[in-house]
Amino acid sequence: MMQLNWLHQTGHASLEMAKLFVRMFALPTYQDARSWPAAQRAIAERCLPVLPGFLFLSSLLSLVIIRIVTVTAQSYGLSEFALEVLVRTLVLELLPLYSAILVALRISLPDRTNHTDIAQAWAGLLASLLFTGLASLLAATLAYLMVYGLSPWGLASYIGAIGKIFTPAMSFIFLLKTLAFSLAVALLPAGLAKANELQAFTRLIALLLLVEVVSLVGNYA
Amino acid sequence: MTVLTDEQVGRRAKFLIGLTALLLVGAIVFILHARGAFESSQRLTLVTDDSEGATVGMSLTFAGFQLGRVTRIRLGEDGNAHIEVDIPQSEAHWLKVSSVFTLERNLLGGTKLKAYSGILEDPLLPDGAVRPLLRGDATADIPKVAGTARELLENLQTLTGSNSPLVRSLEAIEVASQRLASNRGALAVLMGNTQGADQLQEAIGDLQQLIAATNEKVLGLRPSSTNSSTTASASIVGPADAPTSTLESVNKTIQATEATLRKAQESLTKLDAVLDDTKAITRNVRAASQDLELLRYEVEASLRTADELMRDVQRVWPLSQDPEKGLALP
Repeated sequence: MMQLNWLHQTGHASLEMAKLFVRMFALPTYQDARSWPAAQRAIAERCLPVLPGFLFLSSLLSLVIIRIVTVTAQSYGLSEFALEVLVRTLVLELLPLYSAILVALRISLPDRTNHTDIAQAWAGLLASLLFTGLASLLAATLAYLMVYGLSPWGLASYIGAIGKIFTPAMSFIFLLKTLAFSLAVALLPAGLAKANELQAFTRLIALLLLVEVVSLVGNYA
Repeated sequence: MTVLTDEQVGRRAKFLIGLTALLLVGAIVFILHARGAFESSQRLTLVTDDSEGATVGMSLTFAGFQLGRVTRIRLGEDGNAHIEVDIPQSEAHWLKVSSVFTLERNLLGGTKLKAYSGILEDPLLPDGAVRPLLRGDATADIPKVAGTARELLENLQTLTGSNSPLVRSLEAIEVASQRLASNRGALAVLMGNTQGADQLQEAIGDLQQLIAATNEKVLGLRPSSTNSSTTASASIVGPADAPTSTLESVNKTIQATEATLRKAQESLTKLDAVLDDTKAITRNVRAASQDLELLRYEVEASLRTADELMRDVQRVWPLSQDPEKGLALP
């Protein structure tokens, strides 16, 4: 009985999310004429205030992880692999997940009264993409600075290492994963209209982890 | 929250959207650049019998700097692995026709693909070149080392076995050193048996007697030594009747005999040295035995000279001693 109820709920939520997705990407002719200014307002009013705090937190998280990885790698005499490990863990895995969770908690989920609002969905989608990109850029820069300092002479080998990590398959999966995270964050409120706070959070985490696991399987399996 | 005007909202929203698009496009361009998509490159194919550890995307380094990147690894028709490397034109000038390429596997850490250009004046490596790839494997030597160690142990076992040449040599050296320690000393070693050594000692004694007798007869000197020489000289006819020429020749003969004796003495001194040499046998058996051989020849030669001289003396001057009693040579 419980399983049936869960299935019903999940099916309903998926349907609501699909409806929102279709409305989001429908041709402008079928869209409400007011949706673009509303989306602009949502983006401007909801993303910008969150951005500084997000950047501060993500750089703090990155710095801690960079420090742990470089010190550990150094103690084993494997410094040359530290940057690769950092780019793989931070840029490819941790920061997209972290950005998606933060955007969902700060932008998408709090205001579920207008949960089917296209404007809010766009704000969530854009915020997730933007925050992931900024956090990754910041982490990559911090990792370089922590390892090489302000010297420009490590740049060539660092760029080479990044090029080595981002194989076409890896880049494609990374792009797909980031898009999937952003869509999940944008559409999830539509599927959580009847859920309470705890249920909403649990489902958000479950959905994001599902995407993460699928991407990990794609990358490393 | 302050309410923003439409203009402010539009500006901020456009800024955020623009920033997102810029990040996305920038990331794509940066990755393409990092992967060398905007550089014209040349192809190099490295052929090896085992490509284990080589991966697509791994870099080919020269002096620790990345030159190119592996783009494809395939199994060729010849059963060898063909590793295709893309090298940007800007870096390709480091590779010469004489360059050597290695694939190094380490115990810890990744496999490394390296290029070495010894002669930088050589012509450039052409596009599409196929070169052999040398493999250096830290772990590949372990079975080889184990095999060599086993071989070494077997050799050692053969060497130290109860019937091995080394053990037999050591036994022979032991016998020789026992003889050295006996009262006949190095002579026993030289002669190979005790009788020979005894005969030699007797011969030397006889020679001394003979010289004493000769001295007494020819020069009238009377040695203060043994009775036997006194009795021997008593039976010799005095030199007064002999012609002068004979006396001179006898003098010469005696001088020659003295020289020979000195030689024999020298040989004996050398024999003492032989004792030291023979002790060194354990360190250098061959060299020592060569020395002994030489000495043996010298002693033999001296003895023969002495023998001849004795015969000369006997022929020139009639001695009362039994002419048949010569020196017995071993």
